Amino acid sequence: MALLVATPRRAPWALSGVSGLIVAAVTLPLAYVVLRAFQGGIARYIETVATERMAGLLWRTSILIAGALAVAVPVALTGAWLVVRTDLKWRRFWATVLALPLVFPSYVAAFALIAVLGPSGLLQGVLEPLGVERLPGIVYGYSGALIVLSLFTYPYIYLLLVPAWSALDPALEESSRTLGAGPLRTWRGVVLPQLRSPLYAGGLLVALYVVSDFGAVSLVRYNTLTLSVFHAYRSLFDRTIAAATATVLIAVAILLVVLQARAQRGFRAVRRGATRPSPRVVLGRAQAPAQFGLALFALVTVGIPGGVVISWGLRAIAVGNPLGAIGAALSHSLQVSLLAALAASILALPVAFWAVRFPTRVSRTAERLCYSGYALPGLVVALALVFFVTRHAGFLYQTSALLVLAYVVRFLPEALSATRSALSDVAPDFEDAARVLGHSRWSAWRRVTLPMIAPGIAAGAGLVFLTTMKELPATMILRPTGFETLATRIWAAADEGIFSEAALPALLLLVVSVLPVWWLSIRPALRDRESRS
Amino acid sequence: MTPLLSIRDASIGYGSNLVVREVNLEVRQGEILALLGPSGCGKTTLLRAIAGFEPLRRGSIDLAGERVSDETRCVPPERRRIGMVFQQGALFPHMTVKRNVGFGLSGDAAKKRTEEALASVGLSDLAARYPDQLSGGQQRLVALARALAPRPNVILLDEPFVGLDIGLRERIRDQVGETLRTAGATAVLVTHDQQEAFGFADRVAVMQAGKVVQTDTPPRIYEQPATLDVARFVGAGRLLPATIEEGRLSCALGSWPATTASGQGFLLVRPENFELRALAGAQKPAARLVRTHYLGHDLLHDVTLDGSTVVQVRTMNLGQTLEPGPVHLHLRRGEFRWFPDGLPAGVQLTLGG
Repeated sequence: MALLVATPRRAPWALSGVSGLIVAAVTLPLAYVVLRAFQGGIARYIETVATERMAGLLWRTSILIAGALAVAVPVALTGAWLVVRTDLKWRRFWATVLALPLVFPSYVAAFALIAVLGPSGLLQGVLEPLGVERLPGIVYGYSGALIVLSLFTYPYIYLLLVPAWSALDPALEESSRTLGAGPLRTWRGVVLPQLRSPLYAGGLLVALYVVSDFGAVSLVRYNTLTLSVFHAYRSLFDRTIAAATATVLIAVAILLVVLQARAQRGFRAVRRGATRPSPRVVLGRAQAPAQFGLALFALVTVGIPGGVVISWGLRAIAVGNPLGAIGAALSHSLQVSLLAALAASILALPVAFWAVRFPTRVSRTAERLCYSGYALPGLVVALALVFFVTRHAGFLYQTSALLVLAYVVRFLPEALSATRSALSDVAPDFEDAARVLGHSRWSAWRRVTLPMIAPGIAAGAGLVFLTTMKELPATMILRPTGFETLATRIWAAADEGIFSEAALPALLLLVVSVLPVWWLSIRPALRDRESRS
Repeated sequence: MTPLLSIRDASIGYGSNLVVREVNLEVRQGEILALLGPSGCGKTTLLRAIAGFEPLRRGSIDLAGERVSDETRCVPPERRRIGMVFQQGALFPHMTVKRNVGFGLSGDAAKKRTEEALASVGLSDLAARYPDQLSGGQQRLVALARALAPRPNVILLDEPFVGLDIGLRERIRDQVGETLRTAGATAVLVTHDQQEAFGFADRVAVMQAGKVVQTDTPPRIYEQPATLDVARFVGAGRLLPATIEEGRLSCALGSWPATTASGQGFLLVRPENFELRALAGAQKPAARLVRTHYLGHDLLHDVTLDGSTVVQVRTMNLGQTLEPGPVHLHLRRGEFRWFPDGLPAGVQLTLGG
């Protein structure tokens, strides 16, 4: 087979120009956080940042990241092992159930936790006649934040582990065993190192989720960097403090990305799709305990939050909760989410095309820059846009257009990565074939490439739609006055402890998102596994 | 008659990295030319330059009397009237076979021409299928029909049989060749497989490190390789160091009267140049049979001459076997290729005696 020693083809000027503009539009505003933080001079900045309070916030954020990872990684490993490498009964069912916590945004999970275990929650109500005056307050503070941010984030690791693990060549393990290594040494020396890539990538997602989370930590009253940025922004006239705290948050996010990249660097793998599935461990007598354990786990991570939302939601409907206001919130949510999905998928096209078809250092870097919005907390993105807009584009302030722009900056990577991977699956041969048959570059692209990558674009748009529906912190900051979405209503009601009012929008949110989550996130990751085994 | 395609002094590449260097080629109307060379020799890049996907750094390409590429100009692929068959076929997966074949056509005659093109590869009954419902061989044939449909000036084939099983590969290759010749098409085939090049093409251009080192008919490429590199790349063979002195050539095989000027160099010997017999009497020099590879219709023997030099000898499988050990090795008299030291090209040489 002839290697394509192709000389790099030069990108059409219009393509690189348009892409460059898009990249600049989604990355430049981010610089405004830094700009704003240093507005009062460096001395002032250091005075704001180098405080005991900041150290405390850093510490609290760090131990939350560490704790979440310490729980999420073993949970994800165990779950993936059970469904990929054992003869667990009803594997497909469990494989899906284990990914389902993904449908609960952190603030819904936190709200359910409080509604069940909180001081005026369900359990308290059951136990009060028995003389229990007050449950220990595990739902608040570190423990509450940890429960929510580990048990509802581990699917990010799990969904990367499952396909990687099932694609692992069983001959690796078998060689290790024939060379005299026992199961434990084989696991630690051969299997685990091969799973490093999904573990680190998933771990980074979890860590970034924790760093950027606003909904859960605010409801369980655990003060982190993100939460304190929000409060600083809301309560003080001087926004320099919010900006300064945000720069620390940015530094943490960058540090996490760099750490992950470094850890990943030494990774070597010979990628060869497994030609045969790995033999499965026979659970035998452990089958029943495994089933029981999974059922109990699913009860906590899916059954209880789902049940709370559904039962409170139905009760709210029964007592005739004002549906009108929620109808408006639902339609707002749908509007901005659809717009964000549309805008992100259209903007992703030229950038993806540029980076995939004309890979140069410039185009690759530009593409990576687009991912910065994804690594940064939504709150930081929102602040950046506020600072940028108040200085240069005041007419945008307090408009839903700005809200949509924030979503695009934040979630463009989802559309971009879906589009890019669809595009790299389409060999340039297809476009070339259309060219030699007499079609212009544009016609070849429209009639051949676009139809072929349409499913990928749609999947990306679906993901942007979903994450926008759930987005809370940026929405809180940027929404026009009186503009309620499902997310803001859920949070506001839960924050005041009015569960019945939080439940109905939460139910709507779940109903709207459960099928897309399954279709776009869960099914693609698990399908691989099923086709192989 | 002016050639249909002519490439003059063509170089391709960026900066100091030239992938193709000063290539000259001409293809006549109705001729099939193969570009043969190892991976990375620049043959695919050259093909893509003919198609208009790669600009020329220097030189020119003329197609059907029109200048399509030179240093300043590169007519886009869609205006060159060429057909191209890609490695895996590159059939558009979202279109039926019929729409694929008709993709390069427009106007009233499109439907009729689509049917003709499909009929020419014998796949008319598959018109309604999608590419994923075709076998690998069928996909290549549809790709050929698609390329032929607009009646291009020249058909370019980029390793079109890669990924097919051996038996199927030969069948599809023959069918593609026959279809091209029936259509009177002019074609350029890129391949790294010399059997494919020899069996398919009227002429073969051997490419190495970005250069075309020899362009000739298959027999001449095989029997009279222009350079040592071509001799090494094409066919199995052994280059024996030898000396010619006073009209005699001597090497590890022995010594014979030779017709060329004196000097040192290399003699190309191929497995079919030898006869191998059981040792009778005290013949010298003694050769030793080390191993016999059983190939079915043929036998291939590894024979050492002086303990270190190994030559391969091919014999027909006539049922008798030779035991490893001392044997008599006989070089058939006749024409050989001789590469004198210090000269860039080989010369013909007759060994008599």
